[in-house]
Amino acid sequence: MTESAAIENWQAEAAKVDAFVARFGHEDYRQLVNYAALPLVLTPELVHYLRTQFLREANVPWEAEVDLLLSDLCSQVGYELYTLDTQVRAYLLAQMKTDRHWQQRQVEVAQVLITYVSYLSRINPHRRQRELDAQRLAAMTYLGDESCQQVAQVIAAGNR
Amino acid sequence: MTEFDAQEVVLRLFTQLRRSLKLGISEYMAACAAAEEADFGANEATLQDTLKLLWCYSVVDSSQFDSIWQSVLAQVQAQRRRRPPFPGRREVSSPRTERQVEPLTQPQSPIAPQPVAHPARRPEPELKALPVQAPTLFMPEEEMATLQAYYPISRRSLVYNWRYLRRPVADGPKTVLDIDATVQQATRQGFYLAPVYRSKVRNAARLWLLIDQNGSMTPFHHFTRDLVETAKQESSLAPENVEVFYFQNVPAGSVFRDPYLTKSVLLAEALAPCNESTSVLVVSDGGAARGYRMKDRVRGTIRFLQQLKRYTTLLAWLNPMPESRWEGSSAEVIAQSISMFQMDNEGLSNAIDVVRGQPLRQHNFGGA
Repeated sequence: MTESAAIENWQAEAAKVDAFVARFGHEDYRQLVNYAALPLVLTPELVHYLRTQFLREANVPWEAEVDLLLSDLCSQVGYELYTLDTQVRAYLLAQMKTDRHWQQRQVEVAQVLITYVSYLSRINPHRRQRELDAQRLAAMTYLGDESCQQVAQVIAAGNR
Repeated sequence: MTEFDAQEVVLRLFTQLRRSLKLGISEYMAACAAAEEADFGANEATLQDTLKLLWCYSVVDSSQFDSIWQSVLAQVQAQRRRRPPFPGRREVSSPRTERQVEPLTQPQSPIAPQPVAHPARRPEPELKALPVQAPTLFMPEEEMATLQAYYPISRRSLVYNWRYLRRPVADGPKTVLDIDATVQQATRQGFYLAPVYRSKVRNAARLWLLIDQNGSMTPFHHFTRDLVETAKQESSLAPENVEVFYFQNVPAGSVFRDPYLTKSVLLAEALAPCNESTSVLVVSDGGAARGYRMKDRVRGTIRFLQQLKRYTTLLAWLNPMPESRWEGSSAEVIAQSISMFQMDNEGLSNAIDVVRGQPLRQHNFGGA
């Protein structure tokens, strides 16, 4: 199935995102959802960081972070941990693959994420190490074939 | 392996690691000299090993270095595609630098791939200022300070505002020299007999914080943590005069002593030490974060507020959602029963005015 055909099949997911954006009447909320689709796991701090790093000029209100985390697009999976709906995330990532602007953004967010995860590991080395590793590996997959191979090697080594 | 600018990598690493590894300018100069003399060019691993030899003195240092190294390298490689070269480079005449300098004269596009160099078509050099990028690299780009501060009120503002929660009471032994009274007494008596002492003034304000936790308040935990920490540790309030209790949605019957809601205590027991001079600040979104209006929640909250008013009238509610979002939610109804303020600098300032029994400088609560 081609990517464009797959996107057409994601009408339900597209409707969910549209409904979220329409509910708050702010088209820039869509951008925040796109950025939030890139990390594997979300925390309030990470969403805040993504907004301040990438949407400073887009005029997205700060409460958009809260609206996103509490919306039906996200579900809470742990203490202060959220994930974006798997199908919605897949839809958004597929949509970004067809957009050159977002391809570049993916790389930038991945770099920010790796820095962020390193920062978290550094300030508290024993806290949620597995989640941080997963986040780091997920971010590396956006960085091109070499990084993808590294990720595959790490996962393969972990499965041995 | 791709080429990279060793000097730029060294500078970025230095700015990020200088505090944690306690690096000085001599370490930086040594690293620069090593990078320049060895000309690492495309060999990233050798540069990494050299810098570790120069800067790291323990395994901990080394692991810290490795994590920063990865992120710096990724950034430099990404920015090399978009940015002109590092201005500190001296090899102006090398062919590699010429290739990097050339995009300066062309419009920058963050998405466009690096343009192919055409040295033959370069115009003759003119006598004018070189387009040099401002060297802003001394500021680390991935400043993590923003992670510590929750918008729209900073920790600094919280500390500042708590200073206004004061109830000065002079008690205890008279140990403070009162110069004015001493002079007055000497003047009245016509001679100096002894200094006049007065009691030390202490802040007798007592604060009860009742904080909604979990559920729709989870995205605000950072704020509530800061609020509690600053009230306990960075305010003029005595630590024993600050009590914090947590609840989820409505404090019905019992509240909790810890933010994980595990150590419950009866509400009546928690409020027992309160008297008419105790300030109580409730922190909750009152359903505004999800936009719900629920009768049970409103009823339960109003019952709780009535119970609270039997102990003290110095009550205020701090709502982390902006006032525009209270409309149609339970918070809109609850705001009729208590002074409710949104979570920003002005809101907290007004809330503190209310809980210390002062008239508001600016009337700003919903429903009133």
